[in-house]
Amino acid sequence: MTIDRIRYEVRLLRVWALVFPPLIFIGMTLLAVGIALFTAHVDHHTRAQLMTASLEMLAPLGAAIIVASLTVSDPAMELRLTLPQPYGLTALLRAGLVVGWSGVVALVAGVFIYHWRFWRIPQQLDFRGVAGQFLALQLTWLAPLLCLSALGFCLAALLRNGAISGAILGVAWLIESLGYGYFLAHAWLHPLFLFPTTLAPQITFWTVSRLELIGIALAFTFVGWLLLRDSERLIGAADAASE
Amino acid sequence: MNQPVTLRPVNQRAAFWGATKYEFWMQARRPALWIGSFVVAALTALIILSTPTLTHDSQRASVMSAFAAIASLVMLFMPIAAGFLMTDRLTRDRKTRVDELLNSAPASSGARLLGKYLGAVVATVTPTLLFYLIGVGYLLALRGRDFAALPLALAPFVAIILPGMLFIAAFSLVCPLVIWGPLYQFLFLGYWFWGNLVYLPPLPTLNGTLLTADGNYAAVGYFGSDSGVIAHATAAQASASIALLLGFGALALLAAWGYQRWRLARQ
Amino acid sequence: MNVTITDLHKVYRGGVRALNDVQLTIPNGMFGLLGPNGAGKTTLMRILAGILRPTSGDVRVGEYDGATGQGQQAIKRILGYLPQDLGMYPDLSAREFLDYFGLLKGLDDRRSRHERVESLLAMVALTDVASRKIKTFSGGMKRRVGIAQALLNDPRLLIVDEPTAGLDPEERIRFRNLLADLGGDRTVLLSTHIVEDIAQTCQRLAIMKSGRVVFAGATDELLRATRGHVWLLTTPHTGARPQGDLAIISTLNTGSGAQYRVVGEPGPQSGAIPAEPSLEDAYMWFMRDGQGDALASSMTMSAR
Repeated sequence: MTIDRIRYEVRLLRVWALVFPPLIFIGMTLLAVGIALFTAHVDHHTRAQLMTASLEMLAPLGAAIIVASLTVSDPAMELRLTLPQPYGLTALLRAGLVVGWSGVVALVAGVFIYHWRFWRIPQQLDFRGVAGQFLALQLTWLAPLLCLSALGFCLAALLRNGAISGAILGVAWLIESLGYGYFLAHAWLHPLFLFPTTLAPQITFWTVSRLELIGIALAFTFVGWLLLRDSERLIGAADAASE
Repeated sequence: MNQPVTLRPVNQRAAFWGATKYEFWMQARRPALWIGSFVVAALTALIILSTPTLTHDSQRASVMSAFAAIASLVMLFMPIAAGFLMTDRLTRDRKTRVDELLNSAPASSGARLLGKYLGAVVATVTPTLLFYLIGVGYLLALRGRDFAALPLALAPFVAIILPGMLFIAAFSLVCPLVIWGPLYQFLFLGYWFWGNLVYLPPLPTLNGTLLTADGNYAAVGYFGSDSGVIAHATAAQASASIALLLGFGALALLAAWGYQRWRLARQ
Repeated sequence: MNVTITDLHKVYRGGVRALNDVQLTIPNGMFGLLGPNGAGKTTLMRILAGILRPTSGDVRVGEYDGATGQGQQAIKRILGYLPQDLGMYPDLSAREFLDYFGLLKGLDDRRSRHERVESLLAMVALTDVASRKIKTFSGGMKRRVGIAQALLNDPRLLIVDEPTAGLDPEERIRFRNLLADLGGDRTVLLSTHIVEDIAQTCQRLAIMKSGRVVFAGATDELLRATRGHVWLLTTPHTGARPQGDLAIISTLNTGSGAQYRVVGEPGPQSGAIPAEPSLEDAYMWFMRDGQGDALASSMTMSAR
């Protein structure tokens, strides 16, 4: 994998895909500032929840939607499939670039959010030193980012349609956001609980659940990669996309 | 073969109905519509059936109130599928390079746009209607198999589900003309979550206002259902909510029409 | 390098039989592939290019077995492919597009890759516009970028699907000459509806119909078989089409009447003048109902 190759793949990512992640944080910051200025009785806790949500809930959702839309969408798909390098690797590289960029933006945004104490600290990390705590806190966004993006990758590879993959991702996100009580109440759902830092930072299984999500992300990625090895399915998707 | 062709002015109404018919079939034939709607419906059903909601709804005094409750449950997540599936209907003309052909035809762009909107939205809402009817059937079975009441279920569908779907469909059709599709999808999800599903005072939200697209004003105002956010609503408020949703949807379509004409004039 | 196809079948989901017991040997040099829409040409080429898997049968490209994953990978390394529907990245320039695909084809060394890209741009006469974005290119220019990308890895097997569709006459001739130059030391499979392109560049061709190869052999053979079945007919006024068991190839309005070029058996009183068959005439004669099968069996038997 050469630097030239990565340079071209970044070129081929739409400008929107690069602008999107920072826009999320800017938007949420403006929202938080606006709420603080124009709404009475909004306490620090609520503002912290909003900013933590931008890291844990919104940035991963944005990245996942982008990954789902890019995975089986390539204007030169037929040409691609005749090349020695499998298309799955290209799709993984593109997903990796989107996730990587979102991660960089989240890291930078996280520095400010942490510094200004707008990051909800999970109970399990409440007693660590600053450096250790900040490092461990990156799992807040890393785990859902990897998991949702991998789910988007897998769904797009399975359904060969970015829009419907995004819809299913969106509904899963909504269920996780609205029905988090259900995830807390049933132990077998704990590994699938995506947003504890924002919604339930008091849980005692925070660290384990972050690592479990990363494991689930790897599984989704592997399944997606397997599905993308079938060039016949991909050429069918390309032909259908031109309808 | 050499008979002279008599040129008549294009019947724009016929062009509109033609566009409606074919846009309906093009959307209805997409496997993605049915697969996606099925998955979203299955997730919705899973959530609903894991709670006592349906049992509680089946015991409502008024069957219309029970139907309205079902319609409100359907409106939890089905609009997500509908919104996402409408995002490519207009931009598709550019991608498939059929826009040049369409613009050279004598049928007006307004008739085509309206036909595209109507045809695509009817197809997109069809799986939602089926899901709603299944929910209604299940509810009636819980109520002692009172299936004679089934035709009454149409009213809550028209009042609660349809206006919101028409509103969402209009914006989902139009917005991707000016912003990137996935960005619109993200913003739409955020809007649906913040503006329709959660209520976190004192944080500002559209939820509970007349612009709530989930149909709760109609559910409470017309059918006496209870929405956690809207405690009371009159029929007039319900009508106002529906009118606002349809009005804003129409405005979105009008804006799209103007934008397309502007683009064409620039070329 | 020969391409050998044996007992090849391809059935799509839903039972659509795209290829039905295809037997074909494609030798070195230019080889034409003709056939109506739906004949299976694109399916055959996609199988050769490793995009589709055959339902059954054998495909060998030189020493590589196209039925195995390893073989397919090896074929892709020596393959150049120009699809009919050429998708491109509109925001890349021609130079960037070729450089990118050079990377994807394994040309990792930057300097040699850039040299290769520049020499190909010169070959297809796009050097002056190489820095312009592809979205500003005409159809012919995009096609030239397409053929350039197909040649990046100096392929031993070049598959081109409808390369001259939509090009103006000058572009078409330029393309034809370019392909003919390439056919010297590699196998070039040219699929097209434009019979003239095959007539000008290919000494051997195959005709496909309904998923089968109905003819494979020299173009001369096909022309010889058609001799005596091509006629020029003049009618005193336009609109009065010639009668008989005929297929009309072309119509020329002469002012005082019409001259028809036909293939078939005109009636005895028609005043038809025999004409020297072109490949287009031969194709039409061959594809008429029943005629193709009879000719095919007689010609392929004589070829053996």
